[in-house]
Amino acid sequence: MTQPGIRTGTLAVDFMTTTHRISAHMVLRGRVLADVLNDVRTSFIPVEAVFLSRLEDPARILKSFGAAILSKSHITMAIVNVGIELALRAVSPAYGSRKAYGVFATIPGFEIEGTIEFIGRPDLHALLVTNVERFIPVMHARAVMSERPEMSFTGELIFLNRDFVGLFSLGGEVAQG
Amino acid sequence: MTRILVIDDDLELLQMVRRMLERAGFEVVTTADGVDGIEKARQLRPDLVILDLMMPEVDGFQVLQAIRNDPLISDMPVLVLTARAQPVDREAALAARADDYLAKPVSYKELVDRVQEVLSRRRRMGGQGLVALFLGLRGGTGTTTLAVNTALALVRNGPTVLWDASVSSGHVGLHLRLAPRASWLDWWHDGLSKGSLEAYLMSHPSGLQLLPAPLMPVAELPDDSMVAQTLDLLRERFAFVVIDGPSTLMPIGLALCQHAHSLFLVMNLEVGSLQTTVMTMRALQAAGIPAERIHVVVNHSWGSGTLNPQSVERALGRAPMLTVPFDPNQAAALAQGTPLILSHPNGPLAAAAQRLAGHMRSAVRAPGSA
Repeated sequence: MTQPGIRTGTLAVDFMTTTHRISAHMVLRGRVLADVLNDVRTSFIPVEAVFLSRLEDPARILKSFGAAILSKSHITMAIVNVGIELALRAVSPAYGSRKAYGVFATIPGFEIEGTIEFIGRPDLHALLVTNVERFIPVMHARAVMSERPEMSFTGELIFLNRDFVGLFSLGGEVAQG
Repeated sequence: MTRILVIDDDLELLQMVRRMLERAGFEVVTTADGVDGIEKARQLRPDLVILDLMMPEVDGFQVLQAIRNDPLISDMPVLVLTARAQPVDREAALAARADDYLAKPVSYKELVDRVQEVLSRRRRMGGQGLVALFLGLRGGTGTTTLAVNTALALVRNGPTVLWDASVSSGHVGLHLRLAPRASWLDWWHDGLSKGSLEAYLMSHPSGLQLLPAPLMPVAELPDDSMVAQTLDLLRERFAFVVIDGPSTLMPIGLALCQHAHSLFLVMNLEVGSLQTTVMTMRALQAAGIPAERIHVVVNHSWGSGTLNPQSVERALGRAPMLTVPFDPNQAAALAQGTPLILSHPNGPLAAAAQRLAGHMRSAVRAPGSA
């Protein structure tokens, strides 16, 4: 049974820029969010049911729009809590051995902790430099606001825009539950 | 049947929530528009509002603010149901005085459990109402003014009744511009039943309910054993029971003191008032009322010739809980029947009433500490 709050084929996402929080629905049309974000042929993302807040007061809704366009190059991170199967393509368990590692990263305004999965040996150079995908998926993540540490955002999945990453540190392997 | 108003711009969700709640036996009213939601809340007075935060035009925070700012519906329970499910959103919703918060998507069980929890929490709150008694055995201390304004300050936090327990022509009706026709004494004569309570209550536009005093001074001796039963019935229905006490301990004053969770002795900075307060404290302690339940409030602290605070503290053996400066607008407030907390919400008396109300609210958060 579909649960109230989930429309088929749409995904609720919290996008952050350096100045704003944008809560919106994305119509995915059969794709997953990772593919849409990392599609190098498009610089913009169409979104629906858009609610805008300033980062300094992230719960207060400043304005709302039926539809809008987001510039990918201004998105610092995208947070997904419900329906991560619509956000990230599942990797076949048979394909190599996936291991999760603790990760800490900073982007403008936030410090993020979570886990990141690698197939085989973790390779930060590949992840941050040679990888063609701009948005890095961090699982079970928590993003603390640097200027207001009492305020945080959590995400089953947070995509970090590597163009905004200031510091990125990999910790030890973590058990996957 | 319990009536629930659901306000959400997502029509698909509205239908699903309606089906879930109807299946659980609730009567459901829906609207997709915030402005219409506020109107429906005012007209239909539902037992619970389920509210989405993310709506175009008027968002959920604005709807919640409108409900909390409307004295007639300010105590209506509101359950926020939203896709904005971050900790900051939850904190913001609770800070805006939502009763609870639920993130979308929601299952049938989650929704019905949470709805029942909010409803029963409100009922429990009513069943365990806290009793605050304002007592000023020396006349002219402004006891009624403090009781009225404190009761009004509490209305937003839950169903509140103000019992004018005067036995010598109470004045609470004057403060609230209400003209009582029946009194608590009539209720007692009528058999003091739960079913007949409504007939003796008067509604103030703020949502405050008044249980008026007899207009004629009481010539008979009321039975003080009725006090406990009266308070049981009021506490069952109201989260806060504020009593403007009589000006003597007998016949019912002492019984009220024994049942109050907080007892505010109101005095002025003059020697007669101080003597009465000190002696009242001794009498109450001799009657077995714990000192920690008794709080002294100094009202109308102004002017030359008044006692200095140090000598008052020495005589009382403790510092007053609160000192309320004289508010020159009080006479006009009484003449107009508009208490200062409504007409001058930023004035010193309103601030004092909020502090006294805060004392009561903290007792709700920490049961047993009142």
